Amino acid sequence: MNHLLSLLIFLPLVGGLVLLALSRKFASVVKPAALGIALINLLLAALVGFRFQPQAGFQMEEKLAWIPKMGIEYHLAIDGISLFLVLLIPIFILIALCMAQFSKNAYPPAFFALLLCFEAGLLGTTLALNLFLFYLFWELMLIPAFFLIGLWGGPKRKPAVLKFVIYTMAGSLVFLLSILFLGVQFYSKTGEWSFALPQLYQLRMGMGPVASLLFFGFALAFLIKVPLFPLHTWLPDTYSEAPTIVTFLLSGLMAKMGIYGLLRITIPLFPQLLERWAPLLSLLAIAGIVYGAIAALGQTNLKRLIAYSSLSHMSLLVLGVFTWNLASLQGTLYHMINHAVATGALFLLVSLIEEHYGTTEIAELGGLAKETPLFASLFLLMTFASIGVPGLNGFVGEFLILLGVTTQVPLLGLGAGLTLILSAAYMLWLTQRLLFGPLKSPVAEPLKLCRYRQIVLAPLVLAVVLMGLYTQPVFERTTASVRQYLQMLHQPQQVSEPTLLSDTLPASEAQIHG
Amino acid sequence: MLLHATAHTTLPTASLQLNSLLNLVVLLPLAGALVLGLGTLYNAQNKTGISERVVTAIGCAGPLLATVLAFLLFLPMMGDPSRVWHSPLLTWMDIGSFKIELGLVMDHLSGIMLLMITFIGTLIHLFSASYMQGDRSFSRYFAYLNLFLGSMLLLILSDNMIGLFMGWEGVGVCSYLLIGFWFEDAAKAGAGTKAFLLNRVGDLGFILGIFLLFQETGAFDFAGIQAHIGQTSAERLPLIAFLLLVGALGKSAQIPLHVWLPDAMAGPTPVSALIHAATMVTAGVYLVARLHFVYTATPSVAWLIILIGGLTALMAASIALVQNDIKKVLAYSTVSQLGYMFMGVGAGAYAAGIFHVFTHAFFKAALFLGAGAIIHALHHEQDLRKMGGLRSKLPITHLAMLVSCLAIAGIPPFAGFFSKDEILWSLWEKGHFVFWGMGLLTAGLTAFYMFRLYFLAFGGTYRGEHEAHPEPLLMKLPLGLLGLGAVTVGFLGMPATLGLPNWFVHWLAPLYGEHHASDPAAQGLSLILMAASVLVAGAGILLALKRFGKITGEVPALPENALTALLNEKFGFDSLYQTAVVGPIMAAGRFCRQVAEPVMIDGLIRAGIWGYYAFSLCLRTLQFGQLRAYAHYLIFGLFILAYVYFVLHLPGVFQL
Amino acid sequence: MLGPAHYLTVSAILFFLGLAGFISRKNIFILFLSLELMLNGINLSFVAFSRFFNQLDGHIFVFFVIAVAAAEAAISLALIILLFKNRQTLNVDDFDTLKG
Repeated sequence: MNHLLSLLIFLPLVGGLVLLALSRKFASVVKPAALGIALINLLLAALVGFRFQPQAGFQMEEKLAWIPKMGIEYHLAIDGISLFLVLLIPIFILIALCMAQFSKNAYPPAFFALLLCFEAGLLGTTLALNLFLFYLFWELMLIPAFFLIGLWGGPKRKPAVLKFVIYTMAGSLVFLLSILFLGVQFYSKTGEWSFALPQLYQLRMGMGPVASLLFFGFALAFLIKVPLFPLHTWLPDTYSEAPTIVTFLLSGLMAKMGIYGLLRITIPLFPQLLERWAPLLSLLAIAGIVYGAIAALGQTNLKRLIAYSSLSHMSLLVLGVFTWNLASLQGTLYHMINHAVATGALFLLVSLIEEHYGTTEIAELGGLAKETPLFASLFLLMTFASIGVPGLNGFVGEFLILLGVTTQVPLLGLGAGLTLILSAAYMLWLTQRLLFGPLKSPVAEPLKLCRYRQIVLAPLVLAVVLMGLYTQPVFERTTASVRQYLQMLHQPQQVSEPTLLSDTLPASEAQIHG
Repeated sequence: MLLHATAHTTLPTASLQLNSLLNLVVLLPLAGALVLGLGTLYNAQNKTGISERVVTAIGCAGPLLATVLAFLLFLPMMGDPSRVWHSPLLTWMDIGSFKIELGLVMDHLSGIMLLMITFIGTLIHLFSASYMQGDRSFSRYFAYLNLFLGSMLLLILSDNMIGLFMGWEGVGVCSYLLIGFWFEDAAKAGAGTKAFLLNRVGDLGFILGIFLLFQETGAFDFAGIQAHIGQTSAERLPLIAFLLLVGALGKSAQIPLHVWLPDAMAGPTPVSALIHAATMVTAGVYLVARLHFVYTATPSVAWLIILIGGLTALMAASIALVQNDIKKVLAYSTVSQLGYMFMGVGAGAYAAGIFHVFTHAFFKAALFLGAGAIIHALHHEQDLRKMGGLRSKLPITHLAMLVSCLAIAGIPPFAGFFSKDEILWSLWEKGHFVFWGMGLLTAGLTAFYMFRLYFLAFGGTYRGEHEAHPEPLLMKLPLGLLGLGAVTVGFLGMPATLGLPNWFVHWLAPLYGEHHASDPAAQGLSLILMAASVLVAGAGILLALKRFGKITGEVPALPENALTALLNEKFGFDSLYQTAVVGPIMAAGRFCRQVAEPVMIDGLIRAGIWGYYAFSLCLRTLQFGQLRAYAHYLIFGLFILAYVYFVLHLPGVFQL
Repeated sequence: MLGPAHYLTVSAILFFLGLAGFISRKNIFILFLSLELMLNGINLSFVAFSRFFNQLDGHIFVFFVIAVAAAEAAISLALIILLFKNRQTLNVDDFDTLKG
């Protein structure tokens, strides 16, 4: 089983495409088959997690020459930074598939198949170590997302999905240009082509304006995906118009790819520039934390409110990344899981509300705690997790990120710490309006969580509770990688400025000049 | 330092098992909470019921066992003054550069707090079983209450800042849940939210303080912090002390974060007794006392503590004068007494501050439970103007409340007298004469409003509509025990200046030291000061007796003047926060939704898109659709390219 | 003796004649003929260079161009006939439906 990682990507990809082709003729087969594939993939991921050695460096590497002339190769590997995303993705996809299966709005078979393709894109992005391959999977992620939102979203899905795609593509194209430019730089320095990340890490860019431009070229796509204030306006529209199960995946997984991209690509490529640009990005992140929270306070729609809360939380992760010390990076890795679980679970619960009550307007609902105690308890639990109550998982991540930030720049810590107050403000105000007070419901029947859904939600509940107290299983596996990562950033390296009109012109030209 | 040495070096192997009993003390109530919580959910889901008896048994078992264990662990400490229990609980995280291990420690400070909390907690659990009888959410109530007790015990027993913070926030969550326990009333749920948010403001300061303290000392555990406190920078330490104080101010409802506590009375009354009087709100005082080495090193912040404490004590006592809701009177009284405690610990009299926490827990819990018994008896009537003449109807309640009123007013030999006087004495002794005056004035006001409450409730004739029914046994027992405590616990800390044995100060001596300054001059001065405070308190009581002693008809309304208006407005804090903080933030939120998002940020991007479109319109006009025009462009472009090529790369070609 | 310069001059004259015709005339047939003229101008220079450098590359290219031009002529004449059938004119200025 040397191709475990490839299998992890291509099983859902091929499976998804085949099921997509079959979805018209053999509709009855597709849904169980999709669930089966997702389950097998989860088992494969568990195997990966089981085989993972808690040590630094890349493991389970797979390398295949693809376009050798251009240094493009098929290169996959896993390390402590990507491990937990690799574990998280199959779990979330399986949960989404189950929720769709038990949903009252009958999702068509194609929906299931596309979710599998989406999974392949996500896993590929997480595992790819060649920039070209990374870009390929990065874009592959977008295609199923486009159809999932555009075909099964809410009434205003078309402008929303257009906005989403245009935003993401704008970032992606700049990303592609930057990849090519970096490749040319590598060629001009070494005389050979390579898009392999480990090799490109050695190519240290200087502090000049061109390097800065390149840095932002590499950051833009990720910052849009995260998103960072003020690049976020696609988010509320997309999150609220997408089918809520898809929103669960967008906020839980796709947004994390932005953070992961920053960690894997942008920062190690330009460690010299961090000193210069981290303050600006940190300030933007704090602006995002505060702005997202205040905007969330003003929302009247559940999905939009949680969308803005997601903006606020993701900004905290960006801050953690751009503080790049051990505590903040460990915290970021941990909080990626926490945010996925807590916000994801909130979106799932909202999907139940939407399905049962037919509305997500807060003003039309109220006092649900009286009617559905179990649902209300789960909602409250996830609320507490998302506002970082100690003992639940959210606190661990927030604690480490804030610790890392505060010990570095106390004032930034104060700014980021506002999230403690503001997140509590909007979330508790939401629970107050939604769960408490006199009962207000547009339908007579109370919302009931059927046993299936209880089982589906159980992993998230367990994660919220256990990960708040028992953190070692995660940190044991991330510590070595994060340490090595930080060492790499701090390594003094020979630095050379990138050139715009580079000296890559063929020798014959030089002769003509001479 | 003693704590450090005992905890880490001389851990006797024989007592290892006894050690882990300490974990049980915390885990038992938490286990109860888990069982009851899951049971509640299961019942709600399956529409089954579980008898209140079973819930009471499960709910009270945890606290009761914890109390027994606490006493078991306490006894060896009495015999051997150097004995400190220390027990590891859990490695919370190990991220590579540092490791956070949560552990529990029962030293002399947390030991005394542990006894008090488990004992009073158990009594209040018992009382609740009767008070909450017939409530739809009986089991949910006990789940929350157990969760609270577990968190509170974690708070005081933790040997490091992180565990303390976990308990700190945990009790905050329980407070939120219990204030909004009857959540169908939107106002009550709102009060819970308000309490949580104001606590969060404090918690932000607290956690930033923890981080900076960690940066300076490299430790999260108290022993480590204390060991390295000498190496901290002189500029940073006051900031740290201040940030930690902000946390304490939030939890202990001190100015300017005090506004949540009166609203917190929306919760069931036993909750108010346990959380919002006896235990949780004193956590701020405990924090300052626990980190005494930080505050001893930062006199400016310590002075700020006295100032805030004094202002809070005076302000809350004056607001209490005009309250008509029995629980609101007690709430403001709690805020005021907490101010007292802050004055004590701020003045460096940590033992005196903790002693007041200790005695206050007894008489304030008795007062709240008494109020609970009255409210229960009067079918949820809380207005003092509709009470009166309850002396004969609720004899035990009356007795417990009378001694507690005497205790809080500071009449010897009841508990409050000793602890309050200790604080006043240390204020005088340290030269804070103004604050001593504030304390004295507060004492007088306290005596007045407490006896106003007493006379309105028990004196005169009954003015309400409902028929009062007597308190059940399960209420009498905790009331009696707490009343007994209000009478007796004061003797634990008799003034040492008069040469009397002060067991309490002696007990806490390993932490705070103890000084015997019983020279005759101090003795005389001390007697004079004592007399002054007793006289002021007596005057307050007499005044209350004169005004409210024998009211038979309507309670006379207050005169309407600027002072009463100010007091009724509670010094305007609430409206100030509403207009200066909450209003603008909510307006900003609406602004974001209605203007900033759709018009400004999105508008900017839309403007970009329109600009792009306009540019493309310009380019469109170049496309005539005429083949020959395109040919012209082509040739024109060809010539430019040729020219550029020749000029750039073959400069000699035009010279021939 | 005739040097490459002479050949190139003729080639340039041919090319620019074609170019001038292409720009100035309106009949699509004439445009087409001008295009062929330009191609032949280029062909001439290819052949001249090929001869001058004694290499066959130029000849090959010329054959290639002639072949392509023949194919092009076959297709475009057919297209022009269709165009005339549709529009009853061969004036290129009338074919402006592709404007932006």
